Amino acid sequence: MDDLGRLRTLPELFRRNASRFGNSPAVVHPQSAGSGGLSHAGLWNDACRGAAVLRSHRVRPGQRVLLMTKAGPDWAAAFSAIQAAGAIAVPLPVEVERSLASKVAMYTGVKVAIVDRGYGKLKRWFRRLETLTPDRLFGGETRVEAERAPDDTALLAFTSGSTGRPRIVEISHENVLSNLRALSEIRSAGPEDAVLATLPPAHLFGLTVGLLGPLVCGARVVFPGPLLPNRLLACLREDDITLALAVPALVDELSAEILEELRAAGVVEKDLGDRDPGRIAEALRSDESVRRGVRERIGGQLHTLIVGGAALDPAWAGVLSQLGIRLEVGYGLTETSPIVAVGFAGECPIGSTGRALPGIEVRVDRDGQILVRGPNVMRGYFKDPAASAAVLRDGWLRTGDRGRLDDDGFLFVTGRIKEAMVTASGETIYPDEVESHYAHPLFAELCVAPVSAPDGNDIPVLFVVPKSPDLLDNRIRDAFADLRAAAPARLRLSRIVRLENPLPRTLSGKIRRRFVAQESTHVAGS
Amino acid sequence: MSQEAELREILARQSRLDVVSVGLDDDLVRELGLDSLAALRVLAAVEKRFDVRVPDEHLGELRTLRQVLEFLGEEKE
Repeated sequence: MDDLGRLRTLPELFRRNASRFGNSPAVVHPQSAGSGGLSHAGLWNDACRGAAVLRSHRVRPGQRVLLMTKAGPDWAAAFSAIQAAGAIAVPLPVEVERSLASKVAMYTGVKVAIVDRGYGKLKRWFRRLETLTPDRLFGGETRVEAERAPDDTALLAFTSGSTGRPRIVEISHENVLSNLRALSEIRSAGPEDAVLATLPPAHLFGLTVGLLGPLVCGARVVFPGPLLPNRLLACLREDDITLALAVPALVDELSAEILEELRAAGVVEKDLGDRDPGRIAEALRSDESVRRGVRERIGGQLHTLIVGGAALDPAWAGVLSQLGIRLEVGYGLTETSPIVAVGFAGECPIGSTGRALPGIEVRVDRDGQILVRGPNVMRGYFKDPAASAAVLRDGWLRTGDRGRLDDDGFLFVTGRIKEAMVTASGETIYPDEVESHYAHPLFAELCVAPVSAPDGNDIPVLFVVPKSPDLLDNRIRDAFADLRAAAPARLRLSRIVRLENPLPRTLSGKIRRRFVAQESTHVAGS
Repeated sequence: MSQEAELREILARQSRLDVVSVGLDDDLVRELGLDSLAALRVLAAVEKRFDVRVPDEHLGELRTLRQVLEFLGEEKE
């Protein structure tokens, strides 16, 4: 990948991929959906023809184009077409609510939107926009390739964040390319690899790690469509997937298959209810034929599982390593295009998200906040200089995340600065430091979130989802009393709330604590 | 076992709901509070058990037991 350093813009990247990897597959549908898709050359060809169509709809370089289609070959071609036209992509996942999409379109000054066929219901929201479906985009004969500069904006990324208000992040060509270069230095993928892209490319993690990163290496990208656990498993088997982006549905199905094989082999009893990863790893270690059986079930080719967002239980790394699968962990945010640090479980300390990528500086300030500087740091928030100035100082981005660096440069992310709770006694405490003291076998899930007290202070409240809906309140109260007594004095909570539904989470699995507290305030007060 | 009984059994395995009291027209996500992953698990189990593939564009429309049963009925024809 020595030529990556010479690339200046995204159009140059797609052109380079086309000449380097030609007709080898680039973005494809899974076998179960009839396969088919685009080669690297086909992708660039569609991009240039699509750019001509965009131009005929008066899209000039620097103008914004909304991209809201299903993830797949068409999405990749439409994104490339926007880049080839020299325009700025405004990608939104198809699931985004129409009213929000229309607000984003208006705020970013979009005139043309690329949407899936059958998206007629959008018309009401997008009535001021011209809408194009992918089939109209790639039908033309003429070609356009615009020139852009590295510091020009390539895309506007919408981020809802697990805390704080939604923002639109301005990402330049160099932002994205620098991250791709850095990733290619530490990850060795090649044309023999196939990537299961389970996260939407409309988010930067899905775009960089799921789509552009693999394409740069000549690897094949498979977008699985809806995340039905059984279909993800079918992809692993039938599409010879070697790398996969881990989402809860995939991890869930993998662990179910592993357990199924262990049961079939009589290694574990039928009801290994809590799926204890330590015991599973031990069972796998001791029996080679079971390991082979599991590998067959999950497709023999998978060698790397990439975890973004919420951390997978580190104990699962032990299970996966028994199966010859490496677990790649990392830390990133939309504002950093997106990857800051990457590591492999087993090579970095447990709980760490690896080391900073080459060319990226990371430090932790006096308040424990993680700061990042490097060519991947965003240009700023779109049309919001005040918000940009608040987080960007001397090139350093204040991430809003709390963490620490160890002596070997390994980064540990511990929580969000904004989640700090100031209690009546004036103590500042963070949800993550409290939560670690309240795990209990009777609780399926738990989190700590603040409820406002009348005096303006925060009352940290423990929210628990019991393992069984039949569990009696007094057993929960007893467990809480024991945990409370064992916790350090400053982390002793006075309130607990029982929830019947699972905790609300973001797409990547992070708990949306603000929502937990908002939705159940009335319960807390009762 | 009837298809409905099989469906209820799938639902019981994939959720914490009291499946006997789930009405045929209750919206699994909006009214019964199934989280989105559990809803996908239910559909995955339906695909496996009845050996069908729900077209992507219909996935969002199967929100109640009755809708799933009607889909299975159409598949059989």
